[in-house]
Amino acid sequence: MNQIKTARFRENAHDALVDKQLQAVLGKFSDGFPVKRAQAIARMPEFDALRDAARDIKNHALENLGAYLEEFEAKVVASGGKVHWCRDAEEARQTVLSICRDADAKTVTKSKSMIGEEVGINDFLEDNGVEPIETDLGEYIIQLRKEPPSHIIAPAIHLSKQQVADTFRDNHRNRVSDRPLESPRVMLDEAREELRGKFLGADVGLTGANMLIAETGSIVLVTNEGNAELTCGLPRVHVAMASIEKIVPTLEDASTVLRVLARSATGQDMSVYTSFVTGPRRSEDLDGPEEFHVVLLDNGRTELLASELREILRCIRCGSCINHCPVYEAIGGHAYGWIYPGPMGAVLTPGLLGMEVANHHPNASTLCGRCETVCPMRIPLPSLLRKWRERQFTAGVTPVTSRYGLKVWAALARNPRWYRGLTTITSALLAKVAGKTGRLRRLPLAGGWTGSRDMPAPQSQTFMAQWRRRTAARKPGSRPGRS
Amino acid sequence: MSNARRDILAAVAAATEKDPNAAARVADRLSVHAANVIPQRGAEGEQVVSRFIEEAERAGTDIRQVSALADIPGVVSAYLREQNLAGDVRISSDPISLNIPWADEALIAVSHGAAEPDDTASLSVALCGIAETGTVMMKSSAENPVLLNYLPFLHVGLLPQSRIVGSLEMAWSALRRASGEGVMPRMVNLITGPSRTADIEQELLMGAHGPQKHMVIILKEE
Amino acid sequence: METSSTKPDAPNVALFVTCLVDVMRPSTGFAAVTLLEAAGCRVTVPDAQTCCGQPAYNAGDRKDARAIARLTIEAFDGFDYIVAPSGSCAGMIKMHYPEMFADDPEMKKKAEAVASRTWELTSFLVDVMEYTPTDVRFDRHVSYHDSCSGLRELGVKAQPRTLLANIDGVELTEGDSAEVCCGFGGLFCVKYPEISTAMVDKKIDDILATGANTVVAGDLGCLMNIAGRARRRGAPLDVWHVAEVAAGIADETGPIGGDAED
Repeated sequence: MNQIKTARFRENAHDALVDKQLQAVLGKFSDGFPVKRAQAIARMPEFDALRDAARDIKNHALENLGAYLEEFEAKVVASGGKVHWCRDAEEARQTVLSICRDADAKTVTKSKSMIGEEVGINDFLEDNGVEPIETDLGEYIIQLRKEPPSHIIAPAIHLSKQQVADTFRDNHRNRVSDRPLESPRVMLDEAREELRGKFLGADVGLTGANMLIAETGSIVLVTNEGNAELTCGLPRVHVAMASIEKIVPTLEDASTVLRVLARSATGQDMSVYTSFVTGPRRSEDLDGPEEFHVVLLDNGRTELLASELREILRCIRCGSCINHCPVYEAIGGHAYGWIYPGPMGAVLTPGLLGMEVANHHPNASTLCGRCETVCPMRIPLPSLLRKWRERQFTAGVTPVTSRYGLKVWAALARNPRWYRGLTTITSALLAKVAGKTGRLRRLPLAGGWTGSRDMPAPQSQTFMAQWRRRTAARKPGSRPGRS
Repeated sequence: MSNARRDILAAVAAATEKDPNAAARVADRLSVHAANVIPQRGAEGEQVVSRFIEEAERAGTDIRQVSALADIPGVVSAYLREQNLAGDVRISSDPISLNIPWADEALIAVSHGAAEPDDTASLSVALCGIAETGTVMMKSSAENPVLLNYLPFLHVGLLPQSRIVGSLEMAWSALRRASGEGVMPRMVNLITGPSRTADIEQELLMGAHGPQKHMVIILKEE
Repeated sequence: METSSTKPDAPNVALFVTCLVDVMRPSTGFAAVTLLEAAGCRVTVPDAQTCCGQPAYNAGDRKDARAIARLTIEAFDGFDYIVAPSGSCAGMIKMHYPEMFADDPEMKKKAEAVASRTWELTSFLVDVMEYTPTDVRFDRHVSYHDSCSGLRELGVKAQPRTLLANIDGVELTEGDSAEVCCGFGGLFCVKYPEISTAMVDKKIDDILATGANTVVAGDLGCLMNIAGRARRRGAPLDVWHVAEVAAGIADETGPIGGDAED
C-alpha cells in the first residue's frame, strides 16, 4: 500500500493540480489548522519560550541518546515489559510478526503510527495471515480505500465527505445499502459501531508512541479519539513501535513538549487523551494487557544523527509545517509520493529513502521559510533543504541542464567584465524583441517560465551601463568608485 | 536481537560527542527532573479551581460541583435522565466512591470491577485535576481499572477540589508522592473532554471511540 | 545588526543594485538612488558587483556561491552601509555570507563586517534614515506583497507600508495572503512551473479579492513572476516595485511587464 512514488513527483503534482475535487478540499485548507493554531498561540504568551525549551530538551536528548535509550530499556524491563531493538524495517516487521505469532493473533488493532507506515507493517501482517485493523478514523477510512495517508495528523484530509460515504457504503456490507450517509456525524457513529467489535476481539494491539520517557520507561500516546487506549487496553498483548529519536529524558521534559505539540498540530491546548503507558498490567490490575513490548527502530536515524541533518530528528510529528506550506497547499500530500509530505517530509524522506529516490523533495520548495516560522521545535527546515541540495550537487544528482546553466551563470558572476558585456547585449536584444508591449510571450531556454507567464522585458539598457554613462557625464574623465 | 542492540548503540555512540561529563549530566537530569517553562496559566494559587472549570468546559467537559458525597447520586442520575441513558454505573472501588450513598437514587444500579463493553456510565476517582488545561489525571490501580475511563458512553471523573493543581508538573509531583520515584502505574491517563475527531472534512465531532460524554464532578470537602 | 539611535549624517552608502534590477528593471535602481539621496546619503555604485550568489547557493553549489560572495565582499568593503532594493539579496548577504565562510576566519570577519552593514532598501530608509517620501502622488488602490526573505529573514513588514502611507492618493488594502509565497523561489519557478503557476494564481486572486488594481512589493523576482502571470491571464493588475512608487517615477516608467489594459 505504501509504495514509493517519490520519483514521479512532477507527475504526481500535475495530477494533484488538475484534480478538481482535491483542489476544492485544499482550497479550504488555510482556513482550518493555521487559524486554530494562531488562536491557541494567542492564548499562550509563553509559547516562544516553550519552543526554545522544547528544542533544548530534544538537543540534549539526542546528544545523550545512548545513555537515555539504555535507561529507558532498563525501566521498561523493570516494569515487566520487553524491548526489541531493530536496525531496519525488515527486522521490525519480523519482530512484530513474531510477537503476533507467539500470541496466536488473528487480528491486530492499530492506533496511528507513522513508524508503522514507514516499515509497511500492515501489508506485511496481511501477507502473513494476520489482519491489521486501523482504528483512528482517518486511518480507517484510507485503509478501506487502500490509499496512503496524505497528512501525518489528518490522514484522510484529502477526501470529501461524499468520498467517505461511498467508502463506507462499499465496505460496511451488513447494513441497508441506501441508508442516509449525509452527515459526518452519522458516518462517525457508523464507524464507531463497526470498530467497537474489532477493538473487543483483537488479540494484539499495535500502537506507535509520540514520546519515550527514559526516566520511567513509559511511552506516551496522544489522541483525540481514545482509540489508542482501547487498542492497547483490551487485547492480551500490547506492542508499541517507535524510532529511537522519540526519547525525552523526564516526565517534566515530556510535559514541555506536550505544551507545544497539540497547539501546533490542531490548535488544542491539550489533546483529549494523553496516556503514559508503562509495562503490562500489574498483578493487582483488573484490566490491561499481559504483555508489553517496545519495538525500537533505527531505520536510518543513527545516520541522520551523525550528519549535518541531525536537527530533523527533533521533529515531533505535529504537522504544523505541512499546514503552513504553500507548496503542500497547492499539491496535497500524495504528490510527495510517500508517507511524509510537506517540509518535514522533504527533509526526512531523502534521509530514509536516499536522495536519488527522493531527488525532488529538497528541490520542490521556494525556501519561503514559513515552516521554520511555525515549527515548535525550531527546526531550520529551509537550511536543511539547502543541505540536501548541496549533497545532491556534490554527488552530481542535480539534473545536467541545471548544473550547466548554473555553471555558466556563476562563471559570469565571478567575472564582472564578461558579465557587463553579456548583460548589456542580452538586455538590448530582449528589449528590442519585446518592442512596445514590454513583454515577451516566448523565450528560448525559458519554457518553464513562458509556458504560463509572459516575461517582462528588460528596459533596453542595464542599470550599470546607464550608471556608468551618468557618472562619467557628471565627472568627465573620472571613473565611478568610492567617494 | 542482541546484535541489533549492540549495533544501534554503537552507531549512536559514534554519532554523538564523547563527553566525560555526559553520564553525570544524564544521571542528574533524571534524578532532579527539573521543570522547564511553566506558563502563567499553570500557576498555583486560589484561581486554580475557576481556571480548571473554565478550561475543562472549553474542551467540552460537563462540570458539576457538589459539597458532599451525598449529592453525587442525584447529579449522576439527573444527567443520565437528561441524556436519555440507562442507569447502570460501574464505579471505582476507591474508598471515596465506595462511600457515595448510591442507594439513595433508585434509578441507578451500580456495579464494580473492570468495565464491560455495554456499560452505560462509569465513575472513577481522579488523582489530580490540572487547571492549566482542564485535565483530570487518572492512574490505574486495583480500585480504578483503566477501561472505566474509555469503554462506557458516559465517563464521570470524581475530582476532590483539594486535588486541583495548576500545572502538569505539579501533578507529576503528586503522582511521585503516591507511587514512588521513577515508579509508574501501568497507565496514567490525562483526560481533557469527551472523545472527538475532525477527520471527515475537518468538521469537529464530539464522541468518537472513547466516551461520548465526559463529566467531572468537583467535590468540595468540608 | 547595528541600530542607531540618531540618524546618520550623510552616510556613504553603496548600492547593491542586484542582478535582476540591473538587467531587467534599471528604473528600480534609479529609484533607489533617488530615495537614498533624498534621505541624505552619498550613493556610490561599486563597479565590480554582479550577483549576490543566491542562485548558486540555493542550488547547493557552495563553491561558486563562495566565489561570488568573496567578490561581492571585496567590492563592498569600506562603506558605511550597503543597501539593496531586494529582501532576498540583502538577506543573502546579511544572513548567509558569514556562515558561508565558517571555516575561513579571515574571510568570515570580512563577511561579518559587510553583513552587519547590509540593509534592504525600505527598512534602511525608514529604520535608519527615518525617511518618508514627501510630495509624492500615486492615485491607486494598492495591495502589498511581502516577499519571503525580506519578511522572514530581515523582518521587513511595516517599513514599506510606512513609505506607502506617506504617499498621497494611495489606498492600501491588505490581502489575507499577503505573507504567502508567490511561487517565484528563484529556480523553483522554472523547475516546477506548474506548482509555481498555481501559487502565483492564488497570489493574484488574493490581491484582486482586496479590490486593488495594483500590487507593490520589494523584490523584483516576485514582481516579475506576478506581473508575468497577470499579463498572461489578462488580470486587471498593474505591478510596480515599492522604490519606484516611493520615488514618484511609477507612472512615467509604466508597470512591470506593461499595462493591464494592453
